[in-house]
Formats: sequence, structure tokens, C-alpha cells
Amino acid sequence: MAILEVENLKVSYYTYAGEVQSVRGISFDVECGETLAIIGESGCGKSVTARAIMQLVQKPQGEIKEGSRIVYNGTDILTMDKKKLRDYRGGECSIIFQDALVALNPTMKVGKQIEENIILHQDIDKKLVKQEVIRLLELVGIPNAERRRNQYPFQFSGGMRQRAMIAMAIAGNPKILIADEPTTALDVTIQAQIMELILELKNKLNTAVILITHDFGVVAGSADKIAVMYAGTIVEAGKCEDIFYHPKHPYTWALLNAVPKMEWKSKQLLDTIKGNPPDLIVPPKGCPFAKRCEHCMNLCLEETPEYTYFDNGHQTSCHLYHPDNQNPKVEFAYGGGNDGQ
Amino acid sequence: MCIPCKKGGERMVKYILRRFGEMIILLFIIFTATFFLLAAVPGNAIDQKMEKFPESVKENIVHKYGFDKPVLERYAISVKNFVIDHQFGESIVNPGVTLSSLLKDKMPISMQLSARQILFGVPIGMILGIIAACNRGKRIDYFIVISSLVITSVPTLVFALLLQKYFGGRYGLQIIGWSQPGMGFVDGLSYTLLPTLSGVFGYIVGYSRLVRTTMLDSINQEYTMTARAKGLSEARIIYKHVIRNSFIPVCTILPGTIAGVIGGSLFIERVFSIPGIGAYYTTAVSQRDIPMIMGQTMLYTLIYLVSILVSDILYTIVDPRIKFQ
Repeated sequence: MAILEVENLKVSYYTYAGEVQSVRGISFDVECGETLAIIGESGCGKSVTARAIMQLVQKPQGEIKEGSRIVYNGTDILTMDKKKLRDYRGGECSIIFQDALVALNPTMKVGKQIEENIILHQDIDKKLVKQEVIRLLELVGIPNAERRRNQYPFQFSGGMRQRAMIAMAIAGNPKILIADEPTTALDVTIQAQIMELILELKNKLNTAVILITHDFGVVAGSADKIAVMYAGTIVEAGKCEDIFYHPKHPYTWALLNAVPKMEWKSKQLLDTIKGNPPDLIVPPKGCPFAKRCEHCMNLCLEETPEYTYFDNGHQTSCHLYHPDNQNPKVEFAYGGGNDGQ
Repeated sequence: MCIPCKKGGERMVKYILRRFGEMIILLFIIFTATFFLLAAVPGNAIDQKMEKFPESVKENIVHKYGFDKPVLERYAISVKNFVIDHQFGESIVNPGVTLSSLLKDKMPISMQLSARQILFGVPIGMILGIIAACNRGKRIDYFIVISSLVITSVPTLVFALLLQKYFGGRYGLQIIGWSQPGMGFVDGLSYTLLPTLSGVFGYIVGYSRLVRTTMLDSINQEYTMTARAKGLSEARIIYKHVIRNSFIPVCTILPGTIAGVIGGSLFIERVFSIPGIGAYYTTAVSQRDIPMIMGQTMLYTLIYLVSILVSDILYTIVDPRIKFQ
């Protein structure tokens, strides 16, 4: 059963330069206990999507457009009243932000910050709150929880801070956990530990996870479904194996080829995607990726491609799969990188 | 590492003692610098005062203030007077007036005036700042921002004159003088209301703008979004997460403002003929009344240094990231 359904989500931010259409009509759903990875480059709208699901897009700077629907367990959170929304935030759906140093209140003790979530979302005796904080800190692998509880975020290391952030997020026993680039601010060893922790907690608590990242490496072992975002739209979505082994969209191809491989020789250069993503104040008429696409056709510049559906819910919006496309079929092959001289 | 409370307290005492030590050295340096600067500048209040006196009288007066001695000897005597005898010297322009007598007679009036302005101005300003920040972009925010802009653009002096013109003499409000001991509350108020009002807006405007800016800064931080994502109500977000963080900058400004109480408000004292300390400080400087300049400079320096120390201590209370070292 789908616990979260996002339909035709459109989010705009208002800047001095004009209205930036950060998210331009995306739809996806998340099943109970499943992991959905949203992947894409910086500025493609993935973090904005995460904030929209938490109803954190604030007027007057930003706005979720009319016609968008974010349905949690049968109710649209965009029409929820304030009281219900407060129960939803943190209680049904929690978020872990990218950089715990700025996401935690610098002048409040870590234990106190976790306490707030417990008091808000758990029916618990006041005397037991302290124990619960310690239990949560131990659950996310923070040693000396009794002492750590009384420390401030600046006294924690980067990895420990992110663990505390996770403890805070799971304190309300949410059904959905959004992880907005949870490992970007951390070094590689800690990254692996934090990802492991998130997956372990997911299995233990049976929460659905929406993992937002720009790193295919992070996604590989953890996601059930992947949605690839580009310029505010989902260009391809499907099961993890389908995206990795049978990617359909040229953008996904380019992303996969940009991941460095162990067997490469030292002189090999990384594949890059030429050009820049489009300006979302004036979004392009046709396919947003057309300008950078190696397989661009005339049609791509004129008309936004519809979704083409394959097996297992795999879908992509690309004119290469247009039924009238007479060109020879293009298939994806992992590139070996460029020979750099 | 977690520091047990006792050790933290010990640290604080050590820190404050060290700062006091530094303060004494600083005061000494400033004393010396001011003394020699004044000695190097030609002319002083005596020359102006005694142009018409016969030579013998002049000599007597110069001798009385010790200006016939060489500079270094005068310096030594001044140091002795300040440090050991706590004698800060008699005014040349107003004979009989010393720093101690000013502190006793004039200072309380100046302090009453400034204290009233600060006691009303600062809290009202802070509250308006919080209201404006919480309602950013709404009508009330625009009202507060625009009206404070208009008010800051009007100099205190003009504002005081306007108040005198439109309220003076009416509603029983006085435009000259200050309340005397023994006056009833209403009578006292009739003297103090207009001068207080003239100065209070400066504090209201200053603090509302400061607090609004720091609050907005704090509201736009990511930890505020985290607090919202927890499901806290807007009121609790402001109360629990925004206010403390946004008051850190206020802590630097506040002790300075309070130290300003001692200085009084020069313009307002002049306009309303309030017998405060403000007038003495300016005449002392403009007429080179050396003993008065020395005394008052040291007083203000001391107050200023103490206010910096207080704001540093406040910092460590509000912001746990800052520790005594």
C-alpha cells in the first residue's frame, strides 16, 4: 500500500530575478517500509521536493502551486489544518538535513532537542523522557549517552552530530524518514556508517525512507526504487536494478558513466556532462536535457516528451522511445572513461 | 569535554580577575596618554580666565593648580592624587567643583533621565522588533520599519523642540527643569515626561531594528526549519529556538547602552535646562579645564571597560560555544 503519494507537485521560489520553477510537476509514490532514492545534480529540485513533503516551503519566499497533491495515508497534507500538520511533522514524517551543524540549534543541549520530539510525539511519562533520550542516543550508536545528552552540538564530531540528528528524527516513530543528502557533509568512512545506520533503523522500525542524494554510490546498496530528477522533473524512475542495468534516459546514462570505476587506470579522465542545466526561471520548451543530450533530435527541442512505460513500473520521459521514432535504437553501454593524455 | 559546574565557576572567577588586572593596566596607559596629550597642547583654562589679573594673582593661581612645576613632577603628583588619595582635582572654570561633587550633585539627575529612557526604550524596542520579525512582510512589519526609519531621521534635538512646542505648557507639562526631591509622583512626572519622551524613541528605534534584523537572521537559519519539521508550533519555535540565538548580538550592545546612562543626554539636558552632568563635560573639554578632563575621562573609560567585560560575560551565558579562557 502506498503510504505517500505525490501527484503533480509544483514548487516555485520567488527571487529578484523572477519566479524559479524549482519543481515542475512530479509524481511518485512510496510504499510502506520501502526506500525511494531521488537522485540528481545540484539545483534539480530534489531538496525542494523533500521540503515540500514536510510542508516546509514557506510563503512568501516559496510556494507549492495549486493542483499539487501530497497524500499521506489518504489525507492531503497541503489541506491539513495546523494542528494536524504539527502531528504529521515529526510524528508521521521526519527529515534528516544535510548539515547537522547548522540544522541543530547551536545554543540548546542535544538531549533537550531530542526531548522536544519525544514530548511532542510520544505518549510518555515525563520522568521517563530522560531514559528515552538515552535509549535513542544509544540506538543511533552514540557512546556515553548519559554524558553526551548534556552537551551542545558544537561538542559533537560531524558523524556524531548526524547520528544525533537521526535520533531526533526517529524519536516520534515516523512512518516516513526523509534523508536529505545525509552524508554529503561527512567523510567517506563516516558516510558508510551513517548509511548503514539509516538502513538498519529502517528495517528495525519499518519506516519508509526517501533518500535524497547526488551520489549513485550511496544509492546502489540501499534503494528499492530510484527516481532520477533533472531540472525540476523526474526524467526516469523505476526499480533499482532497472535503473542500474537497463537505464533508458540519456541523462541517467550520462550520470552512470560519470561514476568513477575501480578498474580504471590512473590516467583515465572522468566522463562529464557538457554544458549547464537550464535556467528554471524560463524553463525550456522541449525536453530540459535536450541541449546537453548526445542523442538530441529536432523534436526534443520542440516538445516535452511524455512518459514511456516499461515493465515493473519503469518509466522515462524521452523521445527516443516515441512510438514513431524511426531512428535506429540507441542502447546504453557503460563507458570506460576517456583516455586522458 | 563536559566541564563540571564547580570548575566552570572557578574559571569564571579567574577570568574576571585577569580581566580586572588588564583593566588596571589599560586605565594607567590611558591616564598617561591623556595627561601628556593635555600637557603638550598649548594653553589651558587658567590662561583664558586670568588675562586681566595682575601678575602676582596669576602666579598664585598657577601655583595653586601646580602648573608652575615641570611636567614630570606634575605627572607624578597626579598619579599620587588619583591612585593614593583619590583626589581628582578641582575645576578651574567652576572653582569648588570636583569630580566627586559632580558625581554627587549632577550625576543622579543625568542618570535618572537616561535610566528612564533606557528602561522604557529598550524593552519596548525589543518587543516591537520581535513583533516585526514574526510578522515579516505583513502590514505591521512595514508599519514598524517605516515609522522607525522616519523617527531615526529626525534628530533628537528637533524632536525635543517639537515636543516642547506642541506639548509644553499644556496638560500641565513643564518644559524647563527637572523634578526635585520631595515632589509628588504627578508633579515629578510633569517635569520628567517630555525629556524622557524626547530620548526614548532613539532607544526604541535602535533596538527594534537590531532585534528585527537578528531575529530574521535566526528565523532563516536551518535550525529553525528543523524546529518546524519537529512539529513545534510557531510560538514555541520563536520562544525556544529563535530568541536565544538572536539575542547574542544584543548582548554586545546592551552593556554599552547601559553604560551610557552615566553620560546623560547632552542635547536633551540643554534643551530642557536640566542641571545634569552633560554640560560640564563639554565645557571642560572646550575650555581645557585639565583637572576635570582628566577626572571625567578616567571615569568614562572605567565605565566603558566594565561594560565590555559585562558583555563578554553575558556572551558566555547566552552562547555555550564561548568559554572563559
